[in-house]
Amino acid sequence: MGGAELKTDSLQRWMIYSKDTYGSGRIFLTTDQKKAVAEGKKFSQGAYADVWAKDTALVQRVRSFLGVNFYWHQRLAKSGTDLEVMQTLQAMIRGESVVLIAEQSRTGGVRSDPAPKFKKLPSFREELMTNLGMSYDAATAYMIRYNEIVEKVHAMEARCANRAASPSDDAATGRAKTATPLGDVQPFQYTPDTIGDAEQEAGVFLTPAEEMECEAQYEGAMGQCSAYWAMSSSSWGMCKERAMQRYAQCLRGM
Amino acid sequence: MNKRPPRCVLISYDEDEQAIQTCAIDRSLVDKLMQAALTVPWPLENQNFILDDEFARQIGGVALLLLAQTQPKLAPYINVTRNSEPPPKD
Repeated sequence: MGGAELKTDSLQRWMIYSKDTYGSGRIFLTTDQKKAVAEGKKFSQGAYADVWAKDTALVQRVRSFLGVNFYWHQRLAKSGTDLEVMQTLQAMIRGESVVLIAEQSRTGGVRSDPAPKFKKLPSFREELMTNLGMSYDAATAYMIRYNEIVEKVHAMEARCANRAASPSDDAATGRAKTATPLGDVQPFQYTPDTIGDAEQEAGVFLTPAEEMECEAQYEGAMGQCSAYWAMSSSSWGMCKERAMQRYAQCLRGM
Repeated sequence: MNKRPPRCVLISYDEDEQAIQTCAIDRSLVDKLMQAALTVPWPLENQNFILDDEFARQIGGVALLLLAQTQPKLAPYINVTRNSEPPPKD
């Protein structure tokens, strides 16, 4: 499952990839990749679905792309209206399950291969399906959920790091500092043994209030970890790891 | 001699009495609570199986700091040496 050309204009060729493919099956994109994804989102947001829907060839390429890469869109790909197809694509780009990437193939400029290592490493999906015996469906739901969790954990980690760095700051100040890029934050460690019956839990979606509760619990836990850090830096890592595990479990509704 | 069940040590702060309270209770009574809580293990191996003054200082310091997080009146009285570096980001 590779990418597909969306459209080519005078400057660039816009390619669409599933997030999986683009990230070579890994969860974390490089800074450059993130930038490219953001550009594509902007481009897509600025486009009118009804205008794109009039381009028959373009719509056909998108139908084929959705049908191949997202099996649950097969019906839409086959019999949805042109407009529905384009709106779905735009929604998926907005939600980043599909990424839209500009490649300067026409100008002969530097072409960044979006998926240089594709297929070399087992994808996260493969890991879930092979090692944890998840169905394709469950793995998909899990990955979507997992990505969200990772984002949140990173955001909060950055927040907690800021707060811990200056304990005298009040919470509001700590929060104000959170607008720092997360580019240098280490990836969340993937620990298969903490997932357990993930297939079952993968479908659990919390209400915003429940999610906030999980966040509050996580912040409280990281607060506790700051006490461990203050006295015994070697306990900090263990505390933080457990705090994250608990947060991830909470978000899975456990 | 009867074999006694293992115990757990609880440390709390009584604000009215302005006193730290310590007690030991059967571990079975708090097993479930510990599972639900953010419990941090301190492997003896990390201490080379030597539980010395420094180790006791760290454990005691953590207990006091954890108490002070929800009972801030205790905070001004805590005068233990702590790590002044900010925690790592990774």
